[in-house]
Amino acid sequence: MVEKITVKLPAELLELTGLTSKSLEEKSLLIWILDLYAEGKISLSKAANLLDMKVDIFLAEFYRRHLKHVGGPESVEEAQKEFDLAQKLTNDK
Amino acid sequence: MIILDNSVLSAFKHLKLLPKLKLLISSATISKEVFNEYSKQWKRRIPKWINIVQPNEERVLDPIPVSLSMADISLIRLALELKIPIASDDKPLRLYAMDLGISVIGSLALLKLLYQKRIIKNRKEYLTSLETLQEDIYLSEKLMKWALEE
Repeated sequence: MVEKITVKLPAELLELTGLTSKSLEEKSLLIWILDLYAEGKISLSKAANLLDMKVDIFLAEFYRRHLKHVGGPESVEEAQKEFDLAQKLTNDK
Repeated sequence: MIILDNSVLSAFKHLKLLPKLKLLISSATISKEVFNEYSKQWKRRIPKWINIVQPNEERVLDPIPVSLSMADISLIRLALELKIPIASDDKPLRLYAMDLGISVIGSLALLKLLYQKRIIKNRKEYLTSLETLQEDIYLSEKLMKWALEE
């Protein structure tokens, strides 16, 4: 069971968004998780788990917002090392 | 043999290049946790070249970063057990794996290799795939320049 915390939001958000408290809570959580994933602070799998979603459903939300995430190699040297390893693996197969 | 995580699996599915990835690597491994959490559709559609393997749960991994899920940890266990690399674009998973001495490969390197081996047959198709990958991951100008080198 995931431990939960309570956060406070302006009540006006209910009127502004037309959402119920429950939906607002779910949407707030989704926005937080999308942001954490985009910043490369959590893995894709962790993001989906925190929202109790399948990975493809989470990604559909991510792509719908045209977001990008921090990931993959951070430098050309790292990318080249990965390329060389992939080449070796596929030559050895 | 290589282990695929959710990020690379999703990236290649998004790129519509999973069948071509098979031509490159022949077979891949995922854990049951990854299989279960990827998609409800997977249960009907998982390609036969992707094997589902369960890791030995007895290996103690401590401390496990809060940024990772149990599915991520199952892949780490598999990589340590089978002594093979993980394909991942997820920063927290890549960093944790590298700290443990596990080799990591990202989608960009696999994509470039697909083109260099002419599994992606022409440059136009390669450029389209790179642009699609760039919609998902931040790729610096230097990395894009590297990707475009023949």
